[in-house]
Amino acid sequence: MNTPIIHESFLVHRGLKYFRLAALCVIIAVIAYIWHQPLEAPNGGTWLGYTLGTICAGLVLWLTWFGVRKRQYSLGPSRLKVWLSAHVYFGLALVILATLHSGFQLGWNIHSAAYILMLLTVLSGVFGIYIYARYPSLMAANRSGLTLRDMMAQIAEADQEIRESSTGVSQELSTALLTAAQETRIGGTLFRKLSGTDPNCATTKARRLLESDYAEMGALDPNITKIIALIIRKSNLLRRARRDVQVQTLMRIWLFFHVPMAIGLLGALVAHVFSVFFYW
Amino acid sequence: MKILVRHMMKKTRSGGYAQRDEIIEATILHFGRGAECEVHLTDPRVLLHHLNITHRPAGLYLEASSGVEFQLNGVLNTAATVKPGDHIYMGPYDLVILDPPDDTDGALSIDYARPLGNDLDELIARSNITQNRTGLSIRGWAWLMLILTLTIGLGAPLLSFYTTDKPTDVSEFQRAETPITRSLLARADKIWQPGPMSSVHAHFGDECGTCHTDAFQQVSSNTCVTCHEDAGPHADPVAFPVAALDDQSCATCHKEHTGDANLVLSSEQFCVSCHSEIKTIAPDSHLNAVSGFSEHPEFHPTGLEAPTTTPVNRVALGAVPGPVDTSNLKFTHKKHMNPAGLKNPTGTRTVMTCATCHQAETGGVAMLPAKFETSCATCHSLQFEPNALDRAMPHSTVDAAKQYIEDTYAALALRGGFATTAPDTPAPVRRIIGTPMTEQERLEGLAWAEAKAKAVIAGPYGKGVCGTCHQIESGLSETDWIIAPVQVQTRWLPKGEFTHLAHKDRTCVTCHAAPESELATDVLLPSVAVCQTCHGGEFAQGKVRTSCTSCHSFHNEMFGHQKRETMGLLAQ
Repeated sequence: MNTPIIHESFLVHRGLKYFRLAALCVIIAVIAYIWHQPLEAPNGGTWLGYTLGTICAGLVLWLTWFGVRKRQYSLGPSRLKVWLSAHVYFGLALVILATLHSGFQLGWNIHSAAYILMLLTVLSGVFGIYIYARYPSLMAANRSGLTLRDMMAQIAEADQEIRESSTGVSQELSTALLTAAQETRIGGTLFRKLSGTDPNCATTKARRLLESDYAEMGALDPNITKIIALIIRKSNLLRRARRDVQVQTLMRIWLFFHVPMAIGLLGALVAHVFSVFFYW
Repeated sequence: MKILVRHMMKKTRSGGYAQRDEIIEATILHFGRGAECEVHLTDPRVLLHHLNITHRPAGLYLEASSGVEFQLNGVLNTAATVKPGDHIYMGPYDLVILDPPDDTDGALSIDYARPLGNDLDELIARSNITQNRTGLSIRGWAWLMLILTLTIGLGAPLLSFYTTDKPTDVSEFQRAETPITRSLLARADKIWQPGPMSSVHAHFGDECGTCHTDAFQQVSSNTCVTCHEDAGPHADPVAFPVAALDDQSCATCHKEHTGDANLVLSSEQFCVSCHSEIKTIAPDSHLNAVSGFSEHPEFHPTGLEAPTTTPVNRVALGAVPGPVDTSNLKFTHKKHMNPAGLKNPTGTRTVMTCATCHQAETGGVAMLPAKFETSCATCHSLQFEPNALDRAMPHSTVDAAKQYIEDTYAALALRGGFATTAPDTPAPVRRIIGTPMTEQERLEGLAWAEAKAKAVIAGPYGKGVCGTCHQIESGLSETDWIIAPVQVQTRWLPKGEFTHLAHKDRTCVTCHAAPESELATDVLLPSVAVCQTCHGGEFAQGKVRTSCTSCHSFHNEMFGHQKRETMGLLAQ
């Protein structure tokens, strides 16, 4: 199980080979941009503009192709790592290359729309890198060997034990504990999943009730003591389960931006290239 | 009270029931979670004391605790008397009233019909922990984005292009009476516009089809010359066909869609890329090489040469001999600009300034030519006869002036009363005005007039007065002289554009060394060095930034309208 450090291997893959390659491309492009002094303001229509544009369009197609490559399981994880490393560094290089291609000219048009979509795609990708670099270890630490399903099973078990211990408790507490068992939920809306908490959590409410009103009674009644211990255990399990859902959601949510933005970029790119030559 | 309570227990496999009967003796039969309840229920959904049953003469009497209800045969109740066969739903439990065995007061069965579900299953069912319930899948969002970008960015503009009528020329947009038929998606192609239109083209800039007439075709120069029909070639197309740039389209240099920034190339670099090596590129050219305004060659004013009117000389300012512009006038600025002033006919002194003679034209670009009547006549009287001071020669042609002098003396002779002590003046001329004269006297008078006119024309009041300012060319006789035609050069630098208006805050002598000029042929232009004291090149620091196009026009209409001729437009 060396998965927690896989994030390191794709970023520093082969001694930063693709970082060096991408950086080289960027440096050459920047030097060319500074050296090139077109008669008009620098723009996508000069020979350098067309050259950079062609390179950028090729990069966009190749970067998008990663979505296909990563589904080709025959590729194997090590080859995929190579692709991912290149995908990351050339994706970052694209921002600078495309900016130089634009000549820093932005406006309310399809050309700038393609540029903005490119930026959003790369930005969500950078978020993805951060997530993949940081979260797998957090996730493993949070899980401590349990799966989410294990945690939920243990929560259900705690509910069962609480119910068995609470047959004789007061109506107020019984209702609170029943609600805690029946209405506590993990995840929910996207926002709820991303927040990793639930301000209306029935278990938290029951726990507060126990801690404020039944703490003293707990010293006398072993049943209450047991219930308090159980509800704390359940709370802790819930916190971990919600954290797990949060992390899982974060690890996937960026793809909900990254992929549609990338496909939107493809459409905008087609329109951009087409329109430039249609209205030459 | 003695009650039979039959506990119904579900068998897990067969689905049938196992029964356990219990006889309970109590005054009140309590149902609930409380340990003291006779019928102890474990489900947490029931209260500690949920329901009581007492025995009354009419039968068993059910009474729910406050705040809870039960259903008796489907009807909500808080208290009721029941009879055998009645069904009671109490939370998760179903009660059925049974026929009591003989030795009891009542009987009922209790079934835990709706137990709590599996905690794990319910927890999973309540929770949403999957990542795909966000309305659309990743693929769905991706399709949406693709359709959106292709529709807005490609479909709509294309539809607009093919459904909007094309104007036959740009000017059609300026005529309100011929509106353009537009589709619903009109101007959807504006999204293709890569940048703002220049201010001069913005009025039709929303209609892409005005210039972009054909798909996948660069904007044709023919479109440009629809309006810009006078654009001339850059250089003489016969002598320098390459520099005439006839093979270039307008769009090579005139870039639209970047506002006003690139519509007209003002880059010094663009000009000097050829003009710094002009001697190599065009050996026949008489132009000097230039590599920027700070290295601008000295001005070579176009001066006129005497005595003919057309030949010109182009000598650099400051050269020895310097440039000459022959106007055929005798005039020196130094003499006229004497700070002490000049004596005038009234005996006082007139101090002349530049503005005495030089006034800007209405547009402020050039200066109006000085006029004799307004600038000179105050001092330079054209009177010629002391005894007829109301008579002055017209400042017109020599012939007209001579004619006027002759007519003046003839009229004076015929009128008489010519007051003079000169002994050669005949009596008829001096006779009292209005007295008749004989034919002999008349001939005598006219002979005197003719002689007098000749003397004046050839003398200081005729030839002499004109010769004060004009070059006199003598003829065959004393009176047969003419004036060399006055030729005033309107522009000494015809290929440079200068406006006095932009420099009106400077004094004239900042640039023009007129007070020191002692020759009428001096070309009083400032050296380029004078310009360079304030003006620098395109990227100058600390000086007014000046590019080639600040003074020079790329297109030279003096070489005709070569663009139009090339395109065959002149034939139309």
